[in-house]
Amino acid sequence: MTQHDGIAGPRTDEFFIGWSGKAGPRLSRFLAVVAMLCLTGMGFIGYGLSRHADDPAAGLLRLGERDGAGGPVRPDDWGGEEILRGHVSRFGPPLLHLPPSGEFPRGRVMLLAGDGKKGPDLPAGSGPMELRGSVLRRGAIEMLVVEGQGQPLDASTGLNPAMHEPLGRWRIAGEICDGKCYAGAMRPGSGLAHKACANLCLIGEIPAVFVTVDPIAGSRFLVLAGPDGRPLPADVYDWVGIPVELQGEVERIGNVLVLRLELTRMRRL
Amino acid sequence: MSVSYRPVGWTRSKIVYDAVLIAGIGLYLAAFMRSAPRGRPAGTLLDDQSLAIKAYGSCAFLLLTLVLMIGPLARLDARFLPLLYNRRHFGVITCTVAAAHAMAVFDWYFAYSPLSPWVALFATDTTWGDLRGFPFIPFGLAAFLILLVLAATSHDFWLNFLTPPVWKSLHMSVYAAYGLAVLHVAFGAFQDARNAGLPVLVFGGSTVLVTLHLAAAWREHRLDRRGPVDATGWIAAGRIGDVPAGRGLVVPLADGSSVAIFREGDALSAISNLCAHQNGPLGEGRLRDGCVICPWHGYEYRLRDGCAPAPFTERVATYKLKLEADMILLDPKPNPLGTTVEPIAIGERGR
Ligand code: HEM
Ligand code: FES
Repeated sequence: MTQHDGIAGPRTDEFFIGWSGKAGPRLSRFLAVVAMLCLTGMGFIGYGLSRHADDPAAGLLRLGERDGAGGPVRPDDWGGEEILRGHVSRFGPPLLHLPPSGEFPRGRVMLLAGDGKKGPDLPAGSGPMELRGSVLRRGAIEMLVVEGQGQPLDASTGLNPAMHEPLGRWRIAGEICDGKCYAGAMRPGSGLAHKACANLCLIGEIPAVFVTVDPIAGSRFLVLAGPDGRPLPADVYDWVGIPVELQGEVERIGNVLVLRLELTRMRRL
Repeated sequence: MSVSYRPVGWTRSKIVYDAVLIAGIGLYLAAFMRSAPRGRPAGTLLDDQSLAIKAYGSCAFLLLTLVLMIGPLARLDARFLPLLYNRRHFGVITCTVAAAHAMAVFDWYFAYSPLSPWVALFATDTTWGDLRGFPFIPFGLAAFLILLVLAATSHDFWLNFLTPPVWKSLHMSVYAAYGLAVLHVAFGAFQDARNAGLPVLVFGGSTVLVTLHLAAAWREHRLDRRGPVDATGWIAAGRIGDVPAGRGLVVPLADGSSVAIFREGDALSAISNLCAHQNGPLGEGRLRDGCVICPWHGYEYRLRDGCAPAPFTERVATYKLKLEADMILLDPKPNPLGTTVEPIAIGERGR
């Protein structure tokens, strides 16, 4: 008999009745061991999965810029607020062209985004503008996250578009990402797990970038423009976050490359 | 046993059970989101939101694996039965962790956009034609919706409202939820995984789960090979010596149900093996004062008439038995509920 009075059964065969909440000492010991194993197991599994989780910056199917040691290039910390004056072009997504300097002899070009998953709030058309916001930077890619509305400046400021240089037609392998996450907003988000999030950015008119397997004319990414420099059509959403091969005319604008995508020539890799 | 419904009938064992479970989840999340990141170089850290998405998602998966392991474990080793007993709380807590995962995704991946998160959920990944880039979020959503329905119907009210067979088959869809969760990770996070952690959790977990179920089924299959039906329809259920002391001899019937034969003193009785509460295995229960106690939630049934003692009203069917030498013969036709059957005396044969 167990210590449950009146329950038949051999002594070693303890029986647990749910609603009574009583278990014999052997069963209690067994259950305590199971509980301890579960507790330590969960702690270890949680620690292990997180400690050895993939480096987010090394994502992009091992694509993207590498630092001197061959490691992934990490996003800079968000800079403080700046006021920048430059020429805003509308060839593809709006780009801010800052005047040439020693470091950027051809001119320095920043991608533009608004707060959250939205494009920047800019005056219609292109031309000289004053924009306020903070800069996201990861290696060579720079994006100004514009706060408030950009202010048009008059033409006499002498803020001209950066140098344009056509580089011909290219066929390039890589992954389409949203420019904001690639620049580090999500440290950086990439790949299939991030596809829906990236598409939401593109729908919100955040510029798309094409991160390449091999460097193209010294660059690891190209800004994507639709055919004839129009915005990207919705067909592109199916091609985001996966290895693809794109074709089109490449143009160097200041320090960035722009790819004018030929939609009929996209290929899944 | 309830004659009126309470939100939860708390007992000490339920409190301990839930406390251990919640402590385990707390440890997991604290290790994932607090301790482990401290051990990583600063530049390699995820943002807190992405970290939370991964912590809650993998925790929900782990919990779902554990809760599904309890069933076969209890069939293989009766000492795991107490874990079965409060499994519904386990399920509800798992659903809560999955909800935290989904909410973290909503607040990060689907937020900060002019588009509503609900529209974004369905509009942002529609590449149905590409198996290597197949939308994985709908799998997670479907798994979560199943968990939600199961959590919402976990109370005894729904069990009685839907009737146990319907409730039981509804709750079998937890296996569908598990399969969907595996697909969610296989088509999602795996596609970009560069280390083995998550694949080991998901494939390792599901392999252990399948193996346990197969082992339990194999064991039951071996126990189930019994004598054939004779011309009169009675089944050779086993020999008197086969009836274990204090427990039932379980006899499977052709229609998939089963009968439990008990020996009390020098007499044998047979009742349905399926508890009227949640089909718990009465044959694995114990005898006390002429009643069988269900091993799952402790409902009791008198051996003579299959009725729960007052004030409870649950009933299971009784069955007719006869003896030929020491062979027990069973009439597989259940008696109408509430039929009293006199236990058959073993006499000299069982001594
Ligand atoms: C509405 C429901 C759900 C949504 C919207 C959702 C969404 C997501 C998203 C977007 C990811 C990718 C996150 C990333 O890797 O950065 C993810 C990963 C994951 N999800 Fe879900 N999910 C849902 C339900 C579930 C459920 C029910 C489970 C498990 C029971 C689950 C388990 C996981 C796991 C294990 C991961 C991998 C985490 C990692 O990368 O380490 N998800 N989910
Ligand atoms: S199944 Fe719940 S008490 Fe029998």
